[in-house]
Amino acid sequence: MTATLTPESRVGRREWAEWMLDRRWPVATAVVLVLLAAWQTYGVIAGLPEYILTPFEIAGSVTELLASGRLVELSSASLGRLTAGFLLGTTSGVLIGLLSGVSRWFGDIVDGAVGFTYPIPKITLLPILAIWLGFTDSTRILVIAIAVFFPAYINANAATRGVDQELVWVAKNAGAGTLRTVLQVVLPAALPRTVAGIRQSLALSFIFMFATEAIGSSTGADAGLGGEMFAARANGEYDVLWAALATVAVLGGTIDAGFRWLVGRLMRGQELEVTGRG
Amino acid sequence: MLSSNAAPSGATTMEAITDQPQLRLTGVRKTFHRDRKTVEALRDVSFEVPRGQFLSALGPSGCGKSTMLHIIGGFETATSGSVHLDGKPVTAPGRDRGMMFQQATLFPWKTVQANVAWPLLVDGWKRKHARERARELLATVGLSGFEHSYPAELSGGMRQRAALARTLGLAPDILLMDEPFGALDAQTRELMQEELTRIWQESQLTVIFITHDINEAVFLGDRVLVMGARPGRIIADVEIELDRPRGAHTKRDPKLVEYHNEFWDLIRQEAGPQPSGSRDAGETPS
Ligand SMILES: Nc1ncnc2c1ncn2[C@@H]1O[C@H](COP(=O)(O)OP(=O)(O)OP(=O)(O)O)[C@@H](O)[C@H]1O
Ligand SMILES: [Mg+2]
Repeated sequence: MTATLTPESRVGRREWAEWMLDRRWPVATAVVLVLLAAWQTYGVIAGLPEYILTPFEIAGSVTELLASGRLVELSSASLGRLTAGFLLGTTSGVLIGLLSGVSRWFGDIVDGAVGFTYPIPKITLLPILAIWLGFTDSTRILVIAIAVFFPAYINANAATRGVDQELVWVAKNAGAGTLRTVLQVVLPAALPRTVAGIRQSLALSFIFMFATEAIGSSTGADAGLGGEMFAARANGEYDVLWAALATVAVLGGTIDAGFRWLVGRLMRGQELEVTGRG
Repeated sequence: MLSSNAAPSGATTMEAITDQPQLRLTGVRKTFHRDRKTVEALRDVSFEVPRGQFLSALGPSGCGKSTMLHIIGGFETATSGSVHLDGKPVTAPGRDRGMMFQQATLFPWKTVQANVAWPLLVDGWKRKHARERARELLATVGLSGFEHSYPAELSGGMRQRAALARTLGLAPDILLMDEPFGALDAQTRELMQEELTRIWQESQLTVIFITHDINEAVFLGDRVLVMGARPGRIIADVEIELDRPRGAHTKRDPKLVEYHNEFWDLIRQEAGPQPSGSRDAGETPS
């Protein structure tokens, strides 16, 4: 009945939305390709300022840097820092977050400390830590770790506290002890939001990787993608700048996609809560 | 069949249990404090339930039905008064009282079968036996073929069936059901009522069934408690004299309509003429 009453245009729009949803990957790819093509065409026909390269020029520059081995060198330096900082920060954030969600008194203590430090812009720690450790990898890793600690902690903690009372009661009804209830009910129930927090940490680790490399880094092998970009900008090597930028974008996108794929594989039944419709 | 769990049940003899009610509530009160407000959820609730009875409890939203069931289940403690099960005071949750909550409570990260098997594993069952028993229980509630589905892939009615199977797996003496069919559509609801009747008749279970649907309370119950709100208390306790077995024909029985009208009148009187803001009558600043 309601379907026949719905105006023609609304039915059409819904069908169109469903059609789009079924084909969102091809459509998204097509949109990106069209934008790249427009960019390329405009660059060739109208010309671009010297600091903006066309997609083909960027691709050429990436190929060149890859061939010379420089890009791999830069990427592995960056990813090394990112991985170390990310693992350090998220592991401690998740563990402390879960623990403070489960234990009242521990939670109150940690929550107070976190509430106090959370508003501090983490990047300001870079010069402070640099006084102590110098502009070294340790400083950078530590800053990344501290930055990504917060989303990991906050989400793990809120997830654990937000577990439905009834789920815990189901466990109690079955006669499960505290340890079993925490491990087999509270933690899995808290997992979706915890993982969503880890995903935020992952995105943040890229930002902080870039930011920490921008300041006081060398121009050698361990400059990293961020260091190389700032050096390239200062020297007017715009091809290197764009190649490094493209690499950061591709690495970030790939790692996030891999993360979502893994979540989809490991968390059947709850994956939508983490990744949305994708 | 439903009471055929391997775990040995309490060593109560038939003689010992026939002369006392299985469940007894005596002067149960519950007062909640929140945001500097006091809510008297239950006042002086007392009743007894004999073994094997199907007891429906009926009442408007917020009259303390869930709270009462949570106290019987041992999940919450009464502010005063006591609950006795087979003569022993209830202080904590236990497998002798299987609870089906108002909200969906299947573990979303487990398959239906794993959900049903979980309480059995907690009880120390071998994985293989728990799996077999879970499959049996799922067959009892008509969910064969959905063992490996996740709760998110099931309809609301199927989720409630799975939750019922999980609760039956505890091999409880009493089934505590908190508006289990409240969110289902009318047809599914009627089917579930008939199935619950069948399951109950094939078992030795005592059931306390909460609902705010008068017909449902009467159709299912041997007896109906009617509760009033603010403060939550019992305003009527009525034996239902409808023939068993009950089925689709019972729904057309004129006696059912009589009961319906009787309970409606009670509830209408209880609600009384409603001045504006009367919703908060039971809540007083402290
Ligand atoms: N944890 C709590 N803290 C504070 N107040 C509560 C709590 N649980 C219940 N109450 C209050 O106690 C009263 C009874 O609640 P209860 O959930 O038992 O009602 P109900 O009869 O089950 O209602 P419904 O039919 O809507 O499920 C309500 O006024 C409610 O606000
Ligand atoms: Mg309720």
